[in-house]
Amino acid sequence: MNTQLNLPTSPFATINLGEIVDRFDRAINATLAPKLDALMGKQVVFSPDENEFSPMEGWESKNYHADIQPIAGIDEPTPIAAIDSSCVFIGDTADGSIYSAKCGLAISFMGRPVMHFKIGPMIFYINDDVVRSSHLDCKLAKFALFDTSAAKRMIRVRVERVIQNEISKYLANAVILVDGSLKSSIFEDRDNRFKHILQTCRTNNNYLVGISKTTKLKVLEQLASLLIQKNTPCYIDVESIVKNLVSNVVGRPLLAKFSNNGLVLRTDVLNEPSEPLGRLLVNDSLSHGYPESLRLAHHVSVFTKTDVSCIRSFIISKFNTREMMYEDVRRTLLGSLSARGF
Amino acid sequence: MRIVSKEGNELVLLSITDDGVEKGDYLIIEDTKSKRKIVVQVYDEEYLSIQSLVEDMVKDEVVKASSEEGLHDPLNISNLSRMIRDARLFRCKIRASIENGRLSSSVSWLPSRVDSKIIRLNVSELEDLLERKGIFPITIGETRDREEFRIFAEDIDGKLNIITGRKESGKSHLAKNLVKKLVEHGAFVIVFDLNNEYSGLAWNRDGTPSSINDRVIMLEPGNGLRFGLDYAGKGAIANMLKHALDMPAASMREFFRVWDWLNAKNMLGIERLTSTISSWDTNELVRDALVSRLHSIQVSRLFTDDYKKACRFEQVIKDHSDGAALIVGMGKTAPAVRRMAVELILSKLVELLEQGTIPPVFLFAEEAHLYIRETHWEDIITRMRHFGIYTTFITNQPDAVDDGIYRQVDNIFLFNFTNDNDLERISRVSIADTDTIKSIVRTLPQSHCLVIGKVVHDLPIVLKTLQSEVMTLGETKLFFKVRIPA
Repeated sequence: MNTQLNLPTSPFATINLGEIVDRFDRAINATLAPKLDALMGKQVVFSPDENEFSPMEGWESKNYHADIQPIAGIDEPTPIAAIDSSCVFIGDTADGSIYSAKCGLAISFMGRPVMHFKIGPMIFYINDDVVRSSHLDCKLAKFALFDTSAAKRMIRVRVERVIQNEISKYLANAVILVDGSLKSSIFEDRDNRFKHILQTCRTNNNYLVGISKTTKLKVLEQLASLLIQKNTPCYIDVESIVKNLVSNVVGRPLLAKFSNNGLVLRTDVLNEPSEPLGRLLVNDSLSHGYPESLRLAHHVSVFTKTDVSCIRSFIISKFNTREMMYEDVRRTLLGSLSARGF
Repeated sequence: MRIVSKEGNELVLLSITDDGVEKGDYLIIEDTKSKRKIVVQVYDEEYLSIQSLVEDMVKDEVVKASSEEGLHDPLNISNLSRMIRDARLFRCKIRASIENGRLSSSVSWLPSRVDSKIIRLNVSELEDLLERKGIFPITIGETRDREEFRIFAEDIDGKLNIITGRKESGKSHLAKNLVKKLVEHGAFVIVFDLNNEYSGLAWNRDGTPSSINDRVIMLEPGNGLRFGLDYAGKGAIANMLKHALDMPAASMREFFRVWDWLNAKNMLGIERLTSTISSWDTNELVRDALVSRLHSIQVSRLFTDDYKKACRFEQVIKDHSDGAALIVGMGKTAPAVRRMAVELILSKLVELLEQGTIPPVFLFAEEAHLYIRETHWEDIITRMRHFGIYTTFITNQPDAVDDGIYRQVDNIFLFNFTNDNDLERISRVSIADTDTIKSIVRTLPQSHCLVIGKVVHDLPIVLKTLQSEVMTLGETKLFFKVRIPA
């Protein structure tokens, strides 16, 4: 009972603030030590808005040893097809959510973009019926129904897989670029599973390559520093590292640098890297080391404010929906001075 | 269309679809809940320019330029996007409100942005609201809906008007049309014709006599426009000598002594005046001054001793009781003679009007700054108007017209100006707001004018002026006469 607060005549008279602070301090240190002394003299990249950035000249390399392989251009005309997609949350109804997706497909040939396709915007209403008929695992279905980011992920995966599947059937002897790593997803549709796409690519002699703009694996950033100083296209095989950390990786993960002034990108290939990367080098434009076709596919697929306004107008006019008043809960509770996201 | 915002006396309307609205159009905004209406006029049109929209368009263009585009848009949402990109903002001036079916200048309320219905108002519907009525209509053009637009002669009767616009914008056509219709209605019109183009009023374009053929009277200094000295009168001659021929006061006094001496002997005449002055006993310098002015008077051929050839305004008006157009052709006349003739005519007209000998007259003055002295401007808009000279100035140089004139003006027929200085000048002194003038007038096509003032009950109206029914004279003579047909 010694530790209990007395709340009698003057309510705050017996509160010992110093003691409370001291207790908090000891408890936090016991659960997670700040270890700020270890920060002394370190290189640091500050992160505005909680985005992750890479150091321009790489981290001061620890003594990593990796086998850096050059990429030699293969001067054979090969179509490069790049696919990207995006999905936005449009709104909620009492029993479901509305999303919209766009997909971009860009094709480069002999070093320059030749055409691009805008697919969408498509609108999806995700409710109980939809997830039930989506052949998803029950828990996953509920997850997609109630979690916006999961639903968006599901839509993107399914739309992208359809396009990847169709393109891998349609093209032969082409390099198919996808945004991100080559791995299967729990949200895949059974008719357009990743393994089907791989099979079709093999049949049509297409090379599937996944290129990620960023990676969450910190160790890859350390290794990337080895490539930053290189003046020629080259790569490092990081399969053993990645497969130790990530379970559902299908391809062979690499760290690749495609041009002299380019960034180091995580690049996933299916088999021997020299063939797809060599063809990519010759048949696509690689400004800052990133394929122009993939950049174009991204720009084509990304949503603009105008797109979102149009989709809202379309929904209101086409489906006779009634727009409800809404409130920003955070703003209501915290007031206009609260800095969102921090 | 939807109301977006209000700034001062201005409403901004958003239009997504093509509503067929143009600058100059009138719109009715009806608040469907309160059942009240206001009348606004579109004076400017611009694109909806939101930063994100512009960025989208730039990005789209860059993407389109990089490679050939294919589009699969199953819901056709890109069509909506195109509509947004093409959305317009109409800037409108609030002109009036409608209360109990009648226009009122008091607008003390604001229509709802949500519950307002916006419809275009035809000029004929606007006229019904204005309740413009008159007995002597003058059709001066047609509206955008191809409806005839009429003003009433009563609305320019007793008024000061200006027709202005850049060269070849259609000013003279409108002026001729006004002159013709006024004469048809029985009015007396005097035209100071600088380019000898108004004589065409007597003839239709096909060469047949016009409806006022026998009422068009051509007067040129020395040819029809000649006065007897006694008819002109001492006052008019004095004005002419003083203002047009800059005669010094001492010489003027001597001149009047000669005048009075001849008048007393009943010998007043131009020949007699010449001989008397040459033998008049006076200071050498004064005589020289008198002789030189007399020489100018003789050269002008404005005076005659033959009373049969002399012009008498009251007689002309009496002979044409159903109206007449007196065209004072000054195209081939020396500048000094122009000034002399105008001084004489104006002085004589004022005298006749003072005496009540003639009815009020309409005066059309082309590029008046070339022949009317500065001090006369004020006289024209105050004293002369009071006596019954109702002037219409026609000019392509708005800065040549005195500020005082603009402030007194009742009606302005404003044709196209593209020059910023001219627009600035005209908008600064005009009776309509600056924004309307600058925006609408800058883009008026040829033969279109913005009518401002009492003839349109102070609601500016854009119209296309009528093609001239009468013969077009006064065209610029060209060296290369052959032209590729348009």
